[in-house]
Amino acid sequence: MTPRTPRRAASHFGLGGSRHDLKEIGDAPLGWVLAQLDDERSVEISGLPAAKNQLARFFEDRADSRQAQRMAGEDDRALASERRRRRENRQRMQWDVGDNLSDRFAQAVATETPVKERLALFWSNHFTVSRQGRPQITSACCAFENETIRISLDDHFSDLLLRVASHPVMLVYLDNAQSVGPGSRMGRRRGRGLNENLAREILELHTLGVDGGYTQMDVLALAKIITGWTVGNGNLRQVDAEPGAYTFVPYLHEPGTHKLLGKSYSDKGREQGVEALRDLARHPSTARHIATKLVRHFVTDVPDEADIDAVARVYMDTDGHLPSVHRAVLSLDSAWSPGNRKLKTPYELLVSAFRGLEIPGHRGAEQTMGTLRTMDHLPFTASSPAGWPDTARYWHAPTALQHRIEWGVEVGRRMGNSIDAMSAARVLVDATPELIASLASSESPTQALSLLLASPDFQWR
Amino acid sequence: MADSQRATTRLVLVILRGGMDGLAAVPAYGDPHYRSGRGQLALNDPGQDGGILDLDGFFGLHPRLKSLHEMYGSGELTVIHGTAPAYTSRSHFDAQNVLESGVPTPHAARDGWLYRSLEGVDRGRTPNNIAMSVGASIPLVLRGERPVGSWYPDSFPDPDDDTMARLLALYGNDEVLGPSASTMMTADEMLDEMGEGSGRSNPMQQLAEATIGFLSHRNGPRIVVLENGGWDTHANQGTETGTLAGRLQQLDGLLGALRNRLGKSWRDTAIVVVTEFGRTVAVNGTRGTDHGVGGAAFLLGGAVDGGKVVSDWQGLASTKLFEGRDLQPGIDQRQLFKAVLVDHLRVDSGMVDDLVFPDSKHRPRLNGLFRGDST
Repeated sequence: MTPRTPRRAASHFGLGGSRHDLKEIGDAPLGWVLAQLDDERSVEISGLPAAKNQLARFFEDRADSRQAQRMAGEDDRALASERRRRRENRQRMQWDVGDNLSDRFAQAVATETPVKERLALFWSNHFTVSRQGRPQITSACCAFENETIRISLDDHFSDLLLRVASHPVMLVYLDNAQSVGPGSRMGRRRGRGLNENLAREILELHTLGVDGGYTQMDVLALAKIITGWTVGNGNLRQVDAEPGAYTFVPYLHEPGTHKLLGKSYSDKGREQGVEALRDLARHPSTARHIATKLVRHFVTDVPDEADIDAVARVYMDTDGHLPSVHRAVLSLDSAWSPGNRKLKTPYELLVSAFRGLEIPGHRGAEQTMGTLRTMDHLPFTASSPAGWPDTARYWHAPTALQHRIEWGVEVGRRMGNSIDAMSAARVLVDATPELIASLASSESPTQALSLLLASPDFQWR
Repeated sequence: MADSQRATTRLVLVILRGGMDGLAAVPAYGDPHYRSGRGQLALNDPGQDGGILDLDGFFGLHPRLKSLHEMYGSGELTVIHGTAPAYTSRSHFDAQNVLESGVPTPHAARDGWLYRSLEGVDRGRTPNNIAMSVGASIPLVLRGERPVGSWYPDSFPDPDDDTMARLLALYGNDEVLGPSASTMMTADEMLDEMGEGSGRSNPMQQLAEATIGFLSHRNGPRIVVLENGGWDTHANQGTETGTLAGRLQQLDGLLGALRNRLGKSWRDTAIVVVTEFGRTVAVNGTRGTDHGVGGAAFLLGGAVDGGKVVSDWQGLASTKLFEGRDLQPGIDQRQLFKAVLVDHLRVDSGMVDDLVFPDSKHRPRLNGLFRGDST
């Protein structure tokens, strides 16, 4: 049996060791990790405006702006004033987003249930939404995560999947909000039709996985099944529903029975999609896909088949009960083996520094977000719905490593005079003798802290 | 002469992620089914307002691809139409993986085809001296056992020399991060010497500037890989204006800048522009297009014997389309890549067939793509 050390618990399963974590863990590392799965404290971020309100505000603003431009006609002064108003609105939206992201970051820094927070981050990446190329959802991404992932960690995967697939932000992000059944009333009248984007990514990324045994026909079938799952007042102005909110619209829904993965789903309106998604959630390919990703996240970049089998079995036995599945992966012997290292993502790197050095998470928020942007890990800006890869090689290109080093050196320069690097090292890392020697011989306290934060030891969790 | 030429040829590989709509970039306006097949996404005929830029009376270019059109006229651009990686399902991530690994099974190889060719490009230099990735991370096509060079603009101040030396010593003990650490310093130094690399805003332009800097440097890399996302146009992609038109114009600007600014190096340069797949011929229900197999690729540069469209064109009648919806992938992308490696970078053809693209002898390289190409 692999020895289970407190620092491993804090930094590999939590979000980086702090003095507080180490005290709480005491001599029961596994107990500390597993107890968090039953901890009733919420991981929701408080004070966020609802996603539907943010979307509604965007839609309304866009409509106002078009109206104002029409009214202004050739009047240069009116046009200029409208442009100014739009600029100010956009600026305000950016500030809102910055505040939300800062709250999210500060929660990760301060949380007493870092294992649960890590799980929330894992699922948030699994169900990626990104504002790249989608200005409509820019100020609603954080709320999306709050309203789907952060309330579902004690539920079954099928509940989570349904919340995600029927959330307005996901429906806008992957275009389903505009998808129309060609045989539906609107499809026939206006000649509009399907958009298979969300259906494909549900199968490929969210449930079965790309090798999960589906075909182009299944993509089309699921796309038809979830037509009518849309958003009030979005691109389809005709939809009469609460602006920004999820709604099912029967006259967009493709009528008829559709065959998905060999099973026929008769037309029951919205229920047709609910049934299909519930079946996808309990499919063995989904169990394997989820198990593989969890093992990759908590054990090693190249997951072991036996570990995947063990977690997938629990998934199937418990119908995807998330706490049980999480417990299975966190208890894996291999997850505790010091030989199985995981490179911190940039987000994890920064959170672990703030936690370990006891810096308030809101301090220098703008700079923190700028750093994450430079490191290509600003939340909700992934370049594709697959999210960010969960392997070291994606994150350690020479240029990326250089950014990490430059950041660590800079933090050391700024804080080294008030923090003792040697005692910080005992909390932050299982320091190698080489690192200890380097810290001991450093030319200044600031250089010592720079060396610690920029060291290879601190890059791994 | 032959030897000096061998040492100076350069390659820029541009990977467009998301699936560029080949039929929007290179409309087959002479095909009798073009207008009916494309519906509201069909572009105006050449000569009309915002019309297609004609190539050969059958194919044309999107109106925003002005620099490319000039290069076609001056014999510096070849269009490859109806091409795809050796993969015909429609997943972005698998298709990109096959494009970059050069192996038909997704995720079967951990390294990229361009990386595997480096030893054949220049046996005397290490990977980080031959090839450079200009982007936030190194794409699979350039990944392998040893790191290639990489560069991306950053905003942190440089660490002082002593701290850096101490850190490099520490990284020397880390078997995963060590190799990356030891190559990261050289890229910035090269740009400093060229006076490039600071104070620009447009990221695409910034990448172009960096690429020009690297390719013009006497000790610069022979190969640069650039990535560009945002081509997944499922909704409202537009026609002569709109989302896709904007992206095409940016791409055209990048390629035009490379031609105008590379100076003497242009003569020895080939630029390959590829994407993981094309898109459906028909417009979808949301005025966009969904993933479709066959797409378009561009080969341009001073070394290219251009002014032609290479295609195994089957026509746009729905009965002739791949699975009734997509352009036929008549040309395997590996056939283009092989020609670039063998006829331009002078990699041994045996090595290309055995090591770079294993089990691909049935997909011979395209002929006659380069000036002075005797085959």
